[in-house]
Amino acid sequence: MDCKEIRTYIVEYASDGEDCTRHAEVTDHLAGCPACRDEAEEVRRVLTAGREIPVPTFAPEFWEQRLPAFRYPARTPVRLKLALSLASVLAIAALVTYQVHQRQTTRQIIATNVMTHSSVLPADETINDLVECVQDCDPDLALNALLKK
Amino acid sequence: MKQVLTKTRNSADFDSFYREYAPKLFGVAYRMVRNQTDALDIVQESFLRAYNNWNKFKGKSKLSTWLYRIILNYSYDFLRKRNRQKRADMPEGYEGRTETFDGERQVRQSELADKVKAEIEHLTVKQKTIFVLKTYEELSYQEIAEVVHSRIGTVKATYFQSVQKIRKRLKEQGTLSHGL
Repeated sequence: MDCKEIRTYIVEYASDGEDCTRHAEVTDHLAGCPACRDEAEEVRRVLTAGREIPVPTFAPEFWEQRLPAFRYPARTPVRLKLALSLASVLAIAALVTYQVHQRQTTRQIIATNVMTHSSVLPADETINDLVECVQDCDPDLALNALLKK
Repeated sequence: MKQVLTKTRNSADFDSFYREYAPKLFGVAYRMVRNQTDALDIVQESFLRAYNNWNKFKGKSKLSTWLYRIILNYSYDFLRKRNRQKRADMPEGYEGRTETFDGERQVRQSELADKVKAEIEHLTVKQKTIFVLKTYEELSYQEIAEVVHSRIGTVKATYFQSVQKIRKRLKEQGTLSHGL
């Protein structure tokens, strides 16, 4: 192998030693090639220095203290999420029911009041228009105002 | 410790696995994000996910490989968020400094080790991952390939590139030639 080819194995050689796939050939080449030997030495120094970079270490007790968090996985939040979802569905259902009920009540009031002033029951569209008008105010006052017109 | 690969894994299996691997995986997370607090968070999140999926693990790969994947994914997420944050917060040209603390200095760090540490930050995420798994965790190329879902040849080539990149940069700075 020439220098170019040897250099593709230098990192593996410096990192893995005898486990390098071309260990014998690289060793032979380095013995007679100062340039490749220098490069192999530089790589070895980089790897050695890299391994010296410290990482904080903790006593086993430290890790032991953090273990209980896993023994009881986040059941409460999951249940809480379910409860909140259920509560939201119920609240929406209650609101819809209330609004439907309100609308029906308003329709009844209007129909009754119209009947007291006229013998003919107005068409549904007319009542619907009146319902829209009196949604946010007193149905009797709104009806009287309309009848006066 | 032998890896627990029984079909019916239980909390005791998880506990012993945690005791063995938490410190080791903290090392991986720390080397990826270079911050103690963040690395501890990453380890905690990773083990929580592992615990929640403990009985779903099919055993197609080793448990440690599975956990390495989880911890690296959390580290990538963290690095992405941090990079976004950095871009948003830091003035142009800011180089950034990593957190240091007394407890970290358990081994006296050489000047060359400091420089290598700084140069690791110039690697791509993929290069950094493979460098960390090979240099510090001493995983085989085969194991690394399984963790990063890649081919052995690609892993070897990436490792080669990352070491050579660090070496060349240090050489350009004159660090290697000064006999540090």
